[in-house]
Amino acid sequence: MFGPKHGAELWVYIGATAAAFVAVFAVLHWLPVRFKRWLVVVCAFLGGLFYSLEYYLPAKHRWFPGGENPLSPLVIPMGNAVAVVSGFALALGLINLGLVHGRNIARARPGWYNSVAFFVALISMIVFGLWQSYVPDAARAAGLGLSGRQVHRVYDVLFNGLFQPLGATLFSVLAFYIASAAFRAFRIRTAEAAFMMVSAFIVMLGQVPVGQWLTQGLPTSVGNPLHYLRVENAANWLYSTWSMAGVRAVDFGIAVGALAMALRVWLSLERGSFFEVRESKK
Amino acid sequence: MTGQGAAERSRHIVFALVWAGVVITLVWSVPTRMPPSPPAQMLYDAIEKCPPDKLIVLSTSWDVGTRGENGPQTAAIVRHLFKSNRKFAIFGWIAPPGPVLAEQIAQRLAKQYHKRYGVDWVNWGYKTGLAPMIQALPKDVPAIIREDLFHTPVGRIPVMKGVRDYRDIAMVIELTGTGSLDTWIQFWQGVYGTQIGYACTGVMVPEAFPRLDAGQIKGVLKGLVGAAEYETLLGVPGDGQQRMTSQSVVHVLVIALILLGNFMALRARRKTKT
Amino acid sequence: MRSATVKTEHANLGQAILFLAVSGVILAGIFLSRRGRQLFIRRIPGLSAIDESIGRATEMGRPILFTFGLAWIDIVSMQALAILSHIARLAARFGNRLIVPLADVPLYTLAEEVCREAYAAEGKPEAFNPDDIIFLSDQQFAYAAGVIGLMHREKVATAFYFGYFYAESLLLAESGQIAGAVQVAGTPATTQIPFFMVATDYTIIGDEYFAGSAYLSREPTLVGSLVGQDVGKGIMLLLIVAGTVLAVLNKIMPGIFTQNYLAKWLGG
Repeated sequence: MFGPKHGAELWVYIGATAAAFVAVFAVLHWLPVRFKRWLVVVCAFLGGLFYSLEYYLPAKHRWFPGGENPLSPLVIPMGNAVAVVSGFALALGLINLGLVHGRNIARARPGWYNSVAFFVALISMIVFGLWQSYVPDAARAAGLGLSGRQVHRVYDVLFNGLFQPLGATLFSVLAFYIASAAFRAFRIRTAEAAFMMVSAFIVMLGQVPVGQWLTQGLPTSVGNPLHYLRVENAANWLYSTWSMAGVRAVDFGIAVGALAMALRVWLSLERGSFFEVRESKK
Repeated sequence: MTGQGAAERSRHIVFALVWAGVVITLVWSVPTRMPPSPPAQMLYDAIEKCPPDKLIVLSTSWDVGTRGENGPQTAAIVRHLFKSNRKFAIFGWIAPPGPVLAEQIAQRLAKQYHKRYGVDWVNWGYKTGLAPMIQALPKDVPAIIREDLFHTPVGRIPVMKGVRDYRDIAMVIELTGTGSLDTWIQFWQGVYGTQIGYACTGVMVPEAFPRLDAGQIKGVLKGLVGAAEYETLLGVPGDGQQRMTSQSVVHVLVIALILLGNFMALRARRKTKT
Repeated sequence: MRSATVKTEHANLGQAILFLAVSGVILAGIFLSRRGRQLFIRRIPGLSAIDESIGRATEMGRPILFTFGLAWIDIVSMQALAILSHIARLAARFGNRLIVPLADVPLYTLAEEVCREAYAAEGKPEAFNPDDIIFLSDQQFAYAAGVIGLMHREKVATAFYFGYFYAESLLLAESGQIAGAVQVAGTPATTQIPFFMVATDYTIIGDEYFAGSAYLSREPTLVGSLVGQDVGKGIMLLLIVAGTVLAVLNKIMPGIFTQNYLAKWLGG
């Protein structure tokens, strides 16, 4: 059922999917409000149950029909379905951006020229990106006198000349912000802060030639204990012991927290205005 | 207002110092050999042990923003693969520009090593689908990939001949500035035992070490210094080693600023007390 | 370094039992709390600061900004939505403008719905401005540039960062600091915590993030789940200690402890 389809069979599947979508949408629309919540609860439970059972049931067992986990073949089609639904969001994003920036221009709000720049950038990137990728010689065929090479040149200016440097520029601002944050906010007021600062200095110096030059006189052979005082080895030791332990500890906590949240959403136990049900505070 | 003006002035001075330090050392830079750290050596050794008849996948999940770190890492690894005559596939699934940027690097280096696209490497391009696609990929590579970056069906590309599933892939190297590693561990390493290598930005390194320690990844390139270490292993200086001077200057500057900031805060506190 | 051979496609019996045990204590916590048992949660400064930060924005007459970072729809953003709901209700109550820039379209639809309902719950549906819920871009730095621009142009008094952040975390936090905003940040992204700690006023670390909805609302179900989580972490801790002891014994007495039984049972 989930294999690739071609020709008339493909159109039948598309038609049937569209009809099913309309039917589901119609049912959702006419359903009374109190049943809609139950529908959400049931769908959430079944969705979570599918993935949980698929994972916790073994891959093979004699009780399974055919000896194999019956849910495993459905995992990839389910994932593809989720990906398709997410794809619809692309159009929604474009529509929203178009409406917001269109309104800015129509009402001449302060900064409306930025919205004009947005449309110019959006349309030119879409047009030249698709053009040079799929139909590079269409312009010449249409009598516009533009060759595929010229179209590619425009795309090159937009991607390599504008898009890349703009993104790299903003990322590079981080270097300045790190320096200013370090100057403004790193204060050694407690013993723990001092310990953290010393560790940070060791790791930072261990990453650069200057740091390695400072401890170059120390032995390099692994058998010699002084070898660990070389700043690059000390940095690596900090990474692979203290830092790793800390990261693991935080990851464990986050994983259990995520499990608790997932359980609440799966079993529809989540509370708060977002989930519509409020219990009285005791 | 005076306090705010002083804070703004000091911020501008800090920005100017960073700018001067980086620009001067980039213009007058000296390539600096960095002794390879154990994680970089492990990645190098893991690639050296890969069978030459199997494909290595470079998953380029990086964007223009992290090109400063991931770019030299990609160049170093591609250079290693060209030097050792290993075939590889460039692939993107997180950041659409990733495969395009990596292709620019591969094309530049291919001229030095007389390598040909389609024969020595292929670029699968960016494929949508995120984690479900990565989960499906090891079972049938041609069906998921279909065509390369230049819209050529993979069946017509010589380097893809015989590549069917995970058994034809020796290693996946994830080059990234985002948290995309765990998907490969979950759906490839944990299921099929495929070797995973990792080349990440400096800030992601602490997250890599638990996985390295557990053996889930075979080696790590730690940011720009990882690229410099790899270039040392290859014996060919590149952008990584070239930029080590700039990195040195900024690191020393940040340490100096921390100490200066603490000294000034201590002095201000003592003045208030007296 | 050791080699892990944990298979991830399906759980084994040990992993299933561990899952049931941890889930069981979480559900037990929920059950006890709903039956009326008073459960204690320690003070989390970052979460306590949310209300006073909103108060600051009210006094200054300047807007509040809430952003999810690069989160898409998952557990992390569900938790952030719960916190947004609380903040939106307070903003509606005190007549504050709330700006919510986003980098994910499906999340944008949920955020808009949450804010609309929050304003309606406070009896001020007409005060809700859908133009203040803004999808900027799903590209990391385009999104970051958009948020930075918003913070400076709108002169936000308070900024909340709850969700999943990457390199843009310091860009946003430092820009907010320059703009003079009070900032509260919470993210499960371990690598970004140091940047938030330096540049924001309050930071919520690790699993304090998942305590947010329980802490703010004090709903019995959520409080019970939070306490159950802590017991679950206690179980993990016991297993870590037991595994460490067995690994050491396996090393020093290989004749008696031929393998690390716990690691083998859990699939290692």
